[in-house]
Amino acid sequence: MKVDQFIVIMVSLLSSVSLLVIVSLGLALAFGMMGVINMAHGEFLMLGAYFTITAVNAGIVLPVAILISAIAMGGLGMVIERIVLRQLYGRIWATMLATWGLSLLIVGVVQLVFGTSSNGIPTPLSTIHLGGYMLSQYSLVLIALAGVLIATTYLVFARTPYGTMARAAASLPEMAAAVGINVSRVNMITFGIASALAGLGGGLLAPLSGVSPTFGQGYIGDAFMTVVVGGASPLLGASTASLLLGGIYAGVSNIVSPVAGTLALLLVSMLVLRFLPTGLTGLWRKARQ
Amino acid sequence: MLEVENLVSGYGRTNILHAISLSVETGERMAILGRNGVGKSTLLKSLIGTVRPKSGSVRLDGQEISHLAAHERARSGIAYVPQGRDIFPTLSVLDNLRVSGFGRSVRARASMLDDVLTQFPILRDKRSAQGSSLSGGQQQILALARALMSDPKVLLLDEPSEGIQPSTVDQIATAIREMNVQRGMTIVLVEQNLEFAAAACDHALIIDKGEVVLKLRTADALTNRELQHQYLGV
Ligand SMILES: Nc1ncnc2c1ncn2[C@@H]1O[C@H](COP(=O)(O)OP(=O)(O)OP(=O)(O)O)[C@@H](O)[C@H]1O
Ligand SMILES: [Mg+2]
Repeated sequence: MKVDQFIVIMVSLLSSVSLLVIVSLGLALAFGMMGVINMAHGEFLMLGAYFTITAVNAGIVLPVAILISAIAMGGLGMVIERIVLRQLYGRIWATMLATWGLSLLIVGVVQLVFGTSSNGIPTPLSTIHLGGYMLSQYSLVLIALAGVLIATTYLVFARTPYGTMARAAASLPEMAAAVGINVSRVNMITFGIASALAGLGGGLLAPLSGVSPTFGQGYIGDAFMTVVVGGASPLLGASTASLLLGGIYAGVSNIVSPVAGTLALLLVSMLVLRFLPTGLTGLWRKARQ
Repeated sequence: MLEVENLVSGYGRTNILHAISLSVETGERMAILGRNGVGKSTLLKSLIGTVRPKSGSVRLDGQEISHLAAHERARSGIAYVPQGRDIFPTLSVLDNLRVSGFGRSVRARASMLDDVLTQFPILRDKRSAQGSSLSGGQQQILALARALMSDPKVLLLDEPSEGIQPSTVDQIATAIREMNVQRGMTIVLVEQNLEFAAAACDHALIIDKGEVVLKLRTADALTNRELQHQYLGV
């Protein structure tokens, strides 16, 4: 294998991994920290994408547009936590049902406002020629950003007072309240962060494909698969599962075909769950004990 | 001073505490005794606020706190060491301590952390270990130290001697007395272990059928077999 071919394959592999990180991090956070299975996660991505293309069409540069989308989704997430989720903690089915209803509502509203047709913005940055291959610079940016997202989220949850309070509230909410933590506010912020990550993800994906009200459905399967394979520990789970699944998908796609890549992905997910019902982080926990 | 007046509390429609009244003076060490299932833990949970009382009043230094949420009560000066300890399992020992000091200034927190680690060297040795990896006795010491981190006026302890080795039990009794003498903390100690209660506290209230039925010296409770049989199921 020549050097240029090797680099191209590595980049496509890391691209798959970074896409999984970007689509699944918000979902993983809400699930791991709050036990919320957000069935509207795909629609959060979709809203983030719509906010971004609307802002770009209004003349705002893409990076700023994406940031605005993240902030807007963070705010919306906090409102949704207050109005919907707050009453349902600990009732996993009720939460799933409510967020599923929310996803229908979001799709309906978006269809009303933006119509059902697909909108898009061009992919920013150009391509690099490498030997006989072409690499999109934007995919390199996404790879770097996925790393930055994981690292930042880690630092927020591991190193800040808010992060410590959120982890305490996640494991023993009553005891957390008894040591002076306002658990309900912490939950609101955590869901806000999870929603902002979804908004950011949607914004980052917007230039890659057309954006329509069904945009989220294209990613939601990958996002759920990553979270389920990763297990309950949000960061470690999402990153190791993204590495494993993204690596396998890209590897098999490159060597055989994209269809085979998808099949390999499903097969590996089923194998992981057959032997590690609590996901990859379950394995890690076992190893530490 | 902690004053409880006609407090009614329980779960769902079942009342466990029926108009219970008691008061503990500032700086006092008071044990609360009573047989299994009489509602001792329910009383402490109603004081810290994780169980919301149905009626009645709880006053801390004259301030009514019964309408406050648990985190507000904690920040107003009550700390709680629950039965079973409830150490945050996925947090390190240091984070278990820090998490209870966030209501205070950064400097006060840092100096209290240093004090606590000096008072309990085992926690300094284990500072990076996960809470769940500690032994029962170590977790109990951590729970006590965690309560100390908020520099409370009143410390509520629920059976801290339960399932702990004798040597650690002595250490905990000493620590409770020290907190009271050196920092002026008011102590409310729920116990089944009468000897431990007597080692930590001079006075005790006995609860039966959802009410306080007797106040006495713990030394007297130790020698009174009849009383032990009647109220403590010993
Ligand atoms: N979460 C709960 N929901 C419903 N009932 C409860 C709950 N917790 C305790 N109870 C009931 O309330 C009563 C008092 O329980 P509590 O734990 O306060 O007793 P206790 O005096 O602390 O007992 P022990 O000495 O065993 O710790 C018991 O009958 C118990 O079954
Ligand atoms: Mg009890």
